[in-house]
Amino acid sequence: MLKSLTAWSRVKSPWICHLNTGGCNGCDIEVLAALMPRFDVERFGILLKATPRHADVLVCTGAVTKQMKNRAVRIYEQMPEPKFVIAVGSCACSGGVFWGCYNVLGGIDKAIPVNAYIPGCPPRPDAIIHGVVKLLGALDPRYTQLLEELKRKGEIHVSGK
Amino acid sequence: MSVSIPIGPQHPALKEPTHLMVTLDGERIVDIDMRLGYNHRGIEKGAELRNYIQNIYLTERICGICNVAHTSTFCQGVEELLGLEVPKRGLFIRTLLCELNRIHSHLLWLGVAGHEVGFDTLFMYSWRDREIVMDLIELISGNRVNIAINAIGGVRRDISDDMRPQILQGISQLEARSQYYLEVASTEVTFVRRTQGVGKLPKEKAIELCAVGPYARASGVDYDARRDDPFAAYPYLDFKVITSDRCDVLGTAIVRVLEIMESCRMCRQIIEELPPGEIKAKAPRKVPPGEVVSKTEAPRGELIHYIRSNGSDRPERLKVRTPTLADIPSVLYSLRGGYIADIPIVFAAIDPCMACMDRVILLDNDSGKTKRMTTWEELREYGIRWYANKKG
Amino acid sequence: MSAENDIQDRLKGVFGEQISELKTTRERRVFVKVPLPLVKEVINYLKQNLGMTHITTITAIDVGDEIEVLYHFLCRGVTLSLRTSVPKANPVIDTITPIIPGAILYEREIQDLLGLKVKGHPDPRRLVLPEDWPEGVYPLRKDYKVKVEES
Repeated sequence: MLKSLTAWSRVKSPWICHLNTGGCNGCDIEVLAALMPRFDVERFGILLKATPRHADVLVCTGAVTKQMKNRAVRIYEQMPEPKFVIAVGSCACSGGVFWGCYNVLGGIDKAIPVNAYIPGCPPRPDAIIHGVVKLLGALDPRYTQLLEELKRKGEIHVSGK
Repeated sequence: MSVSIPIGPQHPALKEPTHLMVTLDGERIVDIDMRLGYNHRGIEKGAELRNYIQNIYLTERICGICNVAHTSTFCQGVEELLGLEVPKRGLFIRTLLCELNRIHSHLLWLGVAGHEVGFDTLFMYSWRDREIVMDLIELISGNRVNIAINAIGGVRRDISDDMRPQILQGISQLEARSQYYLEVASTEVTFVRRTQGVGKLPKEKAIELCAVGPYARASGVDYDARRDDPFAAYPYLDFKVITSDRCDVLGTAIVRVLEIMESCRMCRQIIEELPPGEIKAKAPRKVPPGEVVSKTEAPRGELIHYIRSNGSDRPERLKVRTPTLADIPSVLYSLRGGYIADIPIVFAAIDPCMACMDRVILLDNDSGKTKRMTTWEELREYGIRWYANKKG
Repeated sequence: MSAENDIQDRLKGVFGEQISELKTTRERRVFVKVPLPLVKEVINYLKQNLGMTHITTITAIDVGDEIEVLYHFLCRGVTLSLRTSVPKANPVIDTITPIIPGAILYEREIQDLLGLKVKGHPDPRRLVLPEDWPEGVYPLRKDYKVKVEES
């Protein structure tokens, strides 16, 4: 029972840590825009923490450059369990426009395991929120309810399924 | 007794990775060095393997914040190689988006600067106002961040008449807000205390170390590629180049806010004087052999693309020099002799478009032994606490 | 007389035959080619007499047996590109940082990416490539082929 309580409290208010592994900053400013007054995910308890040691979710952007690969791995190892990784942006998913460039590995999953991919160049803050909530929904059905509520209120626009 | 701090690659607020090695003597910085390359993706080589149209998309992603400056510079260069004349309406729309991008970038900077000195309210306010600009950009180009308006020969999308009232209304809102930010930047005690007299860069040093952009203009260097090397629709616009004699970080803040106001005026003039006609000229795929030096004024400063063509549909060589690289020797100079508490804001003053700072390593100057490791966030909080204690 | 013509005439007047190429492609763009040993003298002349205050960047291109180096200066509002060539077998150039300190990072960049040796540079470390990048491999040379890793 204690286990499910801790899981619930962790999922209810995930703290995120943001890592840019060599991107153009487009995705980074959209991740931050999600925290800003217009979209404001802080009201759901999602807080941006500076250090990976306090974070539940690692939000990665950018095509992984060779210099950043080891640092990404080190940051991933510093995170306490249970931890999740979200790859935001086409570059983090697969290398994006930079696929085939000599200093780029192509996709965060070449360095660390990824739980969710949010494609886009850059993905809108709505898409990022949708992705984060969907990941958490996979962990806790209460989050799927939150997603439905946001859709119903028109706060996020989701096409397709 | 000196310590050396590496400030490394994982920044909490947007930043990109970089690595600073700071040697301290007590609180004062004796020496500072920077390690670049965390963001090096191999774009110049990648550009040789892609054709000119694909390269528009590649250059756009050199920097997500000043993306339209990169595509404008690139397309301009290729148009010169082709001897192509872009229709006037296309030039006006291109310039409108360059200026909107400049407003967006400066508002972003204002927020980041506020965050660095611990003034998070400014961060929230300016990023909220940034949303006005993002909405206008989305209205015109279809996307919030990566504008993708440029094509070789002109622009991709036109501005219809029903967009005009919305654009003009957005610009009026921005003008009112930037007036407010001017007051904040010049009179708000929290902000002024942290930025006045900090990061001093005298004019002769700025010229000697070849600084560019608002950072150099805040030290009195009167160069702006929009006025001195006009491109796109700038020959047809009236605007002032803002310089300041302050030579410190507060000067860069004031220069940027005034530039927002100038850009609003320019946007209004563009919308009111938008000429009718085509927006794009037809461009052939193969570019005759030649070379071109294409220069524009990105939000951060003078941006240059050197393109050499060889008659095929791929460039022989693309060389890009972004304005941040030009400012690095100057910012390292201005940090020497300062306090470590000032590192976050002085570094933010050049509006770095590189990558984040991560670990900070403190080294003892005399013994050379590692004293302690900190993160950028801790350094930033240290700066806020240090200044709070200094006052009381 | 336009600034471009003035610059061209004065350079021709002082350096005459030694300049192998001098052209104005459009307003505010002048290209000059000089042999390698003359580079520092020309740059000094530009600084003292033609109001050169700013270096925009240094471009280096692999053109086969040689590496072409272009210095892009700003002289009185005109972007003057000074071109010279070094043989690939012995790609050594002198540093211009004593004349223009602002060139410091651009020289490190061409050293790193094209393998030019900049003699006398105050800080000849790598600029952008990773620490574990192999020595002697220069990505912007034409013989460097990008290897695309199949996952």
